[in-house]
Amino acid sequence: MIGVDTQLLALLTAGALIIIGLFAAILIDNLIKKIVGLSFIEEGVNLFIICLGYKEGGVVPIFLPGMDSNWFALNSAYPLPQALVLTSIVIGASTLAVMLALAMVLYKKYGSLSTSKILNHKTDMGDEE
Amino acid sequence: MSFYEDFINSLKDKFSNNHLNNENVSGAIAAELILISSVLLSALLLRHISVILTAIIILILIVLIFTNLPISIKLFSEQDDSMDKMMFYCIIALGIIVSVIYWGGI
Amino acid sequence: MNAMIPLIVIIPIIAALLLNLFGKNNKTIKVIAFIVGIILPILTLITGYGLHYFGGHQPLSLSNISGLPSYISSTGLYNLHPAITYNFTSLSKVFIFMMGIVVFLSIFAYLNSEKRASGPFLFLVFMGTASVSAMMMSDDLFNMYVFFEIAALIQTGIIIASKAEDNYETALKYMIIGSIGGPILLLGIAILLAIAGSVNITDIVNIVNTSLIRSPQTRPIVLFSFGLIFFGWLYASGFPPFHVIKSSIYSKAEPYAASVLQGMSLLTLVAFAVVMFRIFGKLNLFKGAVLLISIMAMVLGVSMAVMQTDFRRMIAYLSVGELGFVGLGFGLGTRFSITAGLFQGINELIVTALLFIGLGAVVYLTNTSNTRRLGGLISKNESMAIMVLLGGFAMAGVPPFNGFRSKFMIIEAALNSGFPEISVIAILVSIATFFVFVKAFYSIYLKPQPTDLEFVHETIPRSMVFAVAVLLIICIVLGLYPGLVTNPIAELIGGLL
Repeated sequence: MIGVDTQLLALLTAGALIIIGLFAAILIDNLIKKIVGLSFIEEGVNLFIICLGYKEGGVVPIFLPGMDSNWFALNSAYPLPQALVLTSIVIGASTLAVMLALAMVLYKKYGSLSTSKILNHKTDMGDEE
Repeated sequence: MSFYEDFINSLKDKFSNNHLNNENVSGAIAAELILISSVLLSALLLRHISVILTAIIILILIVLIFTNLPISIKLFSEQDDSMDKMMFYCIIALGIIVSVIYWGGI
Repeated sequence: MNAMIPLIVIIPIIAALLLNLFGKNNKTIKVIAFIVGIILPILTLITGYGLHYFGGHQPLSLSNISGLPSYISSTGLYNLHPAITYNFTSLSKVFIFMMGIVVFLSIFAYLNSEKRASGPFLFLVFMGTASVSAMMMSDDLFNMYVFFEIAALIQTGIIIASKAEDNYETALKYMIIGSIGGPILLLGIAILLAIAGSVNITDIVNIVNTSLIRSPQTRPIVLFSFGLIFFGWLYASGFPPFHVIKSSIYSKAEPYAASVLQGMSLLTLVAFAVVMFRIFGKLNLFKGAVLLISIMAMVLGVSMAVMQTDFRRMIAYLSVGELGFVGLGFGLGTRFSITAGLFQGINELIVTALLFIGLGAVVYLTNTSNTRRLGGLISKNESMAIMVLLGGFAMAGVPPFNGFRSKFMIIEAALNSGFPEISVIAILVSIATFFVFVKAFYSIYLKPQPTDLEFVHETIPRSMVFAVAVLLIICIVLGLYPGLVTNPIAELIGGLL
């Protein structure tokens, strides 16, 4: 589409994902929904990193034989963020897996998925006689 | 002496237990003294910014402290392990950091 | 190109994988864990200082390529680091060596006190050591973030592996808060990447300090990334508002695991604090923010510790509070104060490990950590009780131990910088720490034993006594010869400033 700045839209989407994730962290009570909402924050940051490498009208950063190196340096997209984001996506997936496994164990123990019941135990100053 | 009695009664209110021995009470009184003295001392650090501001803030802090005694018990009940309280303070910290650092722009 | 530098990270990772693979075979994993635990500190002692470029990709200025076009050879592009660089300095050597000693002694105490060692648990401990060693040495911000996330997962795993009650809830709470703290740190790193064009710390320092801070368009962006990285640093090291969850983790883990966990938090704190100091050290806001949060950490840590009845929670809050002293050193910003803060970090690593293992012996004997139910344990093993008391004195800053030296240096640094209020607060916090120990020592060891106290085991294993004795000897040696640690650190800090 002419006149639409792709990078700006992607950055705004990344910001929206992060804010939605922060809201989910505070306001949602169901544990599974909270965990899914928390993974939004990670995905939003990944999207932010990816769109740093965008170049308007750029080519894929693979240097094929027969290309002029000056033209390549001026026209290719920035390849570093794609490499970083791969690692970051894997980290997000493993964190999500561990959190969901813990949610399963806690569901078996408590029989409910409400965070106010599971995660709000208090430490007491006195003795539990 | 009645301040000590009030202290013990508010300890018993918050943590209704069968017995509190001197470990709890001495700890709570020690925490009280540390908190009040450190808050007032660290307010003195503001003198590097402006002396009048320091004086005003210290007076406000003294009023706040004396209307809210005992502080250590209230602080203890705010810092238990519940998820709601931890998340609240975490988001408040993030909010303060973002607003002060980005819009303060020092 | 120093090939021993990656070995410091690779050897624990390979050991961790082997230990997980042979997890069923008790003898094998005990032997492997013991050998690798000894190898790690020796390896850090014999590695020479230097840089290691992964893949051999050096900056163009160091390689012998000639005939480059002028838009490369006469601009800043000539000095950029194209690949991940590890930098082994005297600071990394001291910290990784001490962490190696603490991990070895914790593993030694663990292997001899449990009949069946658990392969996955040892996997977690060694991966944790590898991740914090990599964080200390790495000169690449994204690499540090990856190992930081690995360390967060390892800490969660260590809590899951313990036998305390409510450990699953604590692990889930830590992960939920980590899902906010970690990505915010990554967002700060991404903003630095966006504005500086590189994730290598040396390059970012050059670019930020020469041009980005001065220009009024880019200065707010640099400040914003400082704020986000600062928030991530607060989560990683356990400063307020994360001190509650951090101390909760230390108290729920097994005692020998808690000593490794607090070492990991300390090394993460130091690694990120040095990076933040290099990149943002010229901002006034950096010093103000770090000072404020360190004072809060010290005061909140010790005032919560004084009110606890569970002694593991007490030591956990104290260790979180002692990290405030390290932050103070960075907040004051002079060479002497940063050296003092880092020396305090080393001392705190050793002493907290001593206290966790020493008081872990009490948990081993009685399976409870509630001081209201304990008493009279000095009759079980007097030498252990005295060593724990001396460890408590070392943390509180009694001469001739190491805690006295480092706290004295910090107080002197605060007075020299024109902040006497900070010195008074530091002295108050040390007095309160001493009070905590006297109270805890009386409640656990000296008061009359309650009649309903049951003993699960009758004697403390000799490996725990040995571990505590070695750590106490290190405390005394560092207290008498602080130059062993402060001279290497001061050289490096002199180079940074």
